[in-house]
Amino acid sequence: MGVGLECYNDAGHLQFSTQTILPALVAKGVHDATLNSGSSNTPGWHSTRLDIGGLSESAFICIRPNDGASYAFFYVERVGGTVQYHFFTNGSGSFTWWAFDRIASITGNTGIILFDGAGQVCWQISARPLRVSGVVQQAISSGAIGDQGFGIPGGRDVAVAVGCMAGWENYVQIGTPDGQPQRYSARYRLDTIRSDGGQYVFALQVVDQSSGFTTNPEQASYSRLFGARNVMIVDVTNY
Amino acid sequence: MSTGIMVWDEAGQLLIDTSTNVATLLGVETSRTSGFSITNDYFYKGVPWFFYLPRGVYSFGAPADGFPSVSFSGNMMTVTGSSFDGTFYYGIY
Repeated sequence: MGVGLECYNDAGHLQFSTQTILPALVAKGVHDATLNSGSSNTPGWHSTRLDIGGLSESAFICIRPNDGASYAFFYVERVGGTVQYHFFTNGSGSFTWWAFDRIASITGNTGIILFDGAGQVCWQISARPLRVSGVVQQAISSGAIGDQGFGIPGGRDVAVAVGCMAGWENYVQIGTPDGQPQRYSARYRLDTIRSDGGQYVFALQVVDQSSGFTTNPEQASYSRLFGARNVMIVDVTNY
Repeated sequence: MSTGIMVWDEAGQLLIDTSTNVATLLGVETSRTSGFSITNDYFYKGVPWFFYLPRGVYSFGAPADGFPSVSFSGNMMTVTGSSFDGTFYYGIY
């Protein structure tokens, strides 16, 4: 670095710097899994949409299921000033969410505040930083990805950063529902998280469309892929 | 603690100490559709991480929407693949 300030932990890893962006807690809430429900065509599963306003393009969220239901992050889109996070779930409970974003402005008038070379706030001592508790990773290959668990450290409250979970969707041949061949239906394979006692369990779930089909062989070759399982576990204790 | 910084919130709860792994964000890429690489010496200063958030609609791509394969080596992040439709976040912790 040229000028500025950096702080490192015992392992020699950067904690914060005037040269980088510190994601800090900017919003928190509880999302009712029955809100903004959009799909009744996937038996046992329905979609739910979490809307959060005021986030920059640097923002991302972490969630903690509040029940034993499974939640799968599906996709995100920005509509005006609102970011819409789409999930699938097999439950009707809720999850708690935390949004992390770059610090946009100074709050309060005491403490230490760091600015970058452009005069932007990059760290404030009262900011809740993104503390990493661990990562869960597994390569994905078509058709197979195993379950994985992450033990929640005793006395800590941890959440899962979404947007880094595996999954894909495509069309599969479903036989002859109307007596004709070449019928295809959508299938989602989504990486889910659920709370199971003292651990989080990550598991790929298959969600099939219950009705409707396409007869277009070309469309049947379409697919959408999300990537490998690559989940960050964030320590949100007292956040 | 040995050396470093400890930070408490207004309730006296510890936020950071020298054993904490705090994530920093080094960049966001929003318009990439094919493989690319990022060189940043800050990758040397922690454990690299990345997110990929698919930007989605309820339609399927043709050709297939691709998923990125991401690897880190030294001060470089390399993303391979094609037909991306999403946002990359990367940093260190």
